[in-house]
Amino acid sequence: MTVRLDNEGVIILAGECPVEDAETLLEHLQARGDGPVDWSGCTAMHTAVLQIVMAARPKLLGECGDGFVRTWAASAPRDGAAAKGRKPAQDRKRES
Amino acid sequence: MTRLLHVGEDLLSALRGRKVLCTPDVINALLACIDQVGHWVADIEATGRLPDRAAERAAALAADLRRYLPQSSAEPTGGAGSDFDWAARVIADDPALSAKTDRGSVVAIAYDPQPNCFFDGDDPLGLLRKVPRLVFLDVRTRSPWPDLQDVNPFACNLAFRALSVASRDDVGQVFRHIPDQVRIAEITHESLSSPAAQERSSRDLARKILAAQRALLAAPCPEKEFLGRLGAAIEVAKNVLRFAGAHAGAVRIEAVRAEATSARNADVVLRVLDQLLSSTASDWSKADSVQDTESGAAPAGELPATRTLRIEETKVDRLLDVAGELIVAKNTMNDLAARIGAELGEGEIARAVRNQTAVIDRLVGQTHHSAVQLRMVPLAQAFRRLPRVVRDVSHELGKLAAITMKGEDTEADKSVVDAMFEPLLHVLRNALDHGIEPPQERRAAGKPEQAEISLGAFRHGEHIVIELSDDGRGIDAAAVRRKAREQSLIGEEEARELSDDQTIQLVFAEGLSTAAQVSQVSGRGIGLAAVRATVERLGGAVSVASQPGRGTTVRLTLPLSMAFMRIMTIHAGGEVFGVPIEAIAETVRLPRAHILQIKSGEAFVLRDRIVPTCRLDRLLDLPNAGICDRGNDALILVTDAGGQTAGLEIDRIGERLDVVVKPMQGLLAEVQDYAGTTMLGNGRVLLVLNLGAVLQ
Repeated sequence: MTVRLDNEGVIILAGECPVEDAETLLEHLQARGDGPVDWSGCTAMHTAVLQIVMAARPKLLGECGDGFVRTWAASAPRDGAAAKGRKPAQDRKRES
Repeated sequence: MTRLLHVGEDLLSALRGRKVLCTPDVINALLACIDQVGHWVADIEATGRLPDRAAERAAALAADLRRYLPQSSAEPTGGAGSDFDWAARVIADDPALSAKTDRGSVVAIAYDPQPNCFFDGDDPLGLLRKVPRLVFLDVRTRSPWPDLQDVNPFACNLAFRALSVASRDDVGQVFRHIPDQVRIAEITHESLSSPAAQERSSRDLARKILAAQRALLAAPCPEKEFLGRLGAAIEVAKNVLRFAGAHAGAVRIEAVRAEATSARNADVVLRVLDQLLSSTASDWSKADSVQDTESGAAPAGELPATRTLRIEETKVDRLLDVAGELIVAKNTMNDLAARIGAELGEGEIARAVRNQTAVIDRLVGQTHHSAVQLRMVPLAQAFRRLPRVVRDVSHELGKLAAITMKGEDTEADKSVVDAMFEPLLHVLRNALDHGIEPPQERRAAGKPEQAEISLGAFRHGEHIVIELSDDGRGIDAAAVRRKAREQSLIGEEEARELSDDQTIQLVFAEGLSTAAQVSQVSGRGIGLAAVRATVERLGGAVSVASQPGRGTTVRLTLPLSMAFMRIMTIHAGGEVFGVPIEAIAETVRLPRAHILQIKSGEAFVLRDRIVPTCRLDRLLDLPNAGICDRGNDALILVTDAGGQTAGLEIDRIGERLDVVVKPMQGLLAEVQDYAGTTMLGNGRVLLVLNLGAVLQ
């Protein structure tokens, strides 16, 4: 299982979280309200899963393990509706 | 309202692109649109919503505007341009990105996945991961999230906005399977100005918007629209300031809102706007940081070469008050110096005191002058609203007129400039209504159909002179004389005596109107009298010169500053009064036998003219009137203040003084006879007369 509940009540996302995980994650969050969700072990997140995190806005533990989400969309669940992902300046320089 | 504004915008951009010819009709339609929106904004501010019939009105106005638009753009344009506004904003915010647009290679992606895209096996994030050289991504929610229990985990509720610096083709390749859900556009340098220029132009724009709010608030306003207008102007100003990064400015505007609202008076807001406008836009944010650092420990050094300081008007006024009191104290010193000389003899001490007094005299004068300078603003503040008036009124009257202005950078005290607008408006309306002939009449008289109105201002000593000239038909002195006679403003004899030049000054007399009928614009016979009253209250004077068939020039002479006045003290009925020097034409001493009784009044002959005269103590109803013994000679003060020459008999003339006149306040503000009060060197309060009102 890439989504599971640990003994201390933390929802843990691990590895590649496919579209099906969205439903499981939603059920956990519906039951527990604000999480918390530990997404540091998640290496690839499906849009549907990110969407659930954005909808529920749980307490998030650690930084997202998925680099793309961490760079571009990590603030989305925190700001709610509209979030702008920006690379830190030095990353951007390297890329251009 | 939005629809109407969109059409207006289209029309304006068509005008700018020279797709539509700019005609007076087009401008009128646009102005009507602006006025209507102004009313609506006032309505929304007052009632929280648009009036019921707004939609119909908008449709009518929009249809009117559309007539001038080329057919192709008759409908508001949606299209790719406006879809990518967000991209322009993002790029403008980010210097690194905008540098890339200079090379013409930023690709904007608007990706709105279908709600059921997950069932098709799509992973929007997965697609975006494949976008080469992504530099910006914004994940947004399409519709607000429902309660968590109702969230459908398999419906995509996200939309994505992204920018890439890869080529358009490479980006398009990623989304080739879903062309219906994604829009891609290349953002080029042409579609964005460079960020620095953009910032400059946005600052300029901010200034213009602020200036417009100032003009709006300063313009005369119907009582019921006032609160709406005030609120709207404050909101706009706040938003503009925030946009320009001047948050402290926005806070200051908000801080005076309550005061302005409860007093139903926009002065405090105007003051803040003026201060903001008088500093440069780039200073707004600087000034913010200065204020911030001032509250903490201010870092030393590195001050820019020229700096402006924004100061509350009350503080400047306080300084002026103190400088004024210094002048009073200085006058006392002059008294003392003279007494020392008289009582101790012309010794060394007396000379030293006198010399020192002269030094203090000079320094106090300089202090006061510097304080007065702080309140100086250019006349342009009163002038710049007049062209629109010319346009509207001439249009209404079916006449053609253009106004040229010069000298609008002449400076005067802010209160004078503010008080100037109303009289200028009256004079201008009069010129348009009575002075300027209809086009066909002008053609018949061999003049160009379009009348020229020129408004000029210049400084003349301690006064500013404002002249408003038209090239209209001029004033018919004979008609004025006849009217004045009919309305018993002048006597039979006087009518014969007055020269044409003197006669036409009667247009400023109360109750005289030569217009055959009362029009909406003017002609009620109070307009020019009100002008004179206002100007005289400010310590100024009005005059008119006219050449029949050639035009009329109205000249307003005003003190540069209201704070400082040159007066002469006079004694009448056992009391002392001050009279502004500019109100006194001359003083005449003549044998009492030369004063003639004409019916119940008195008059005397001055250089072959009959001048009515009256005892000042009687006019003022002084308790001791007439008690003073009347010697063989009568002392008469001749004044033009009442709009015509008149004499006032007084007992004695005192001294000339430079004083700071404080206007009457509170209950006494209603008393028209006095211009204000001032403190004399010996501590006594002197009442300064407003001769124009005394003679009424």
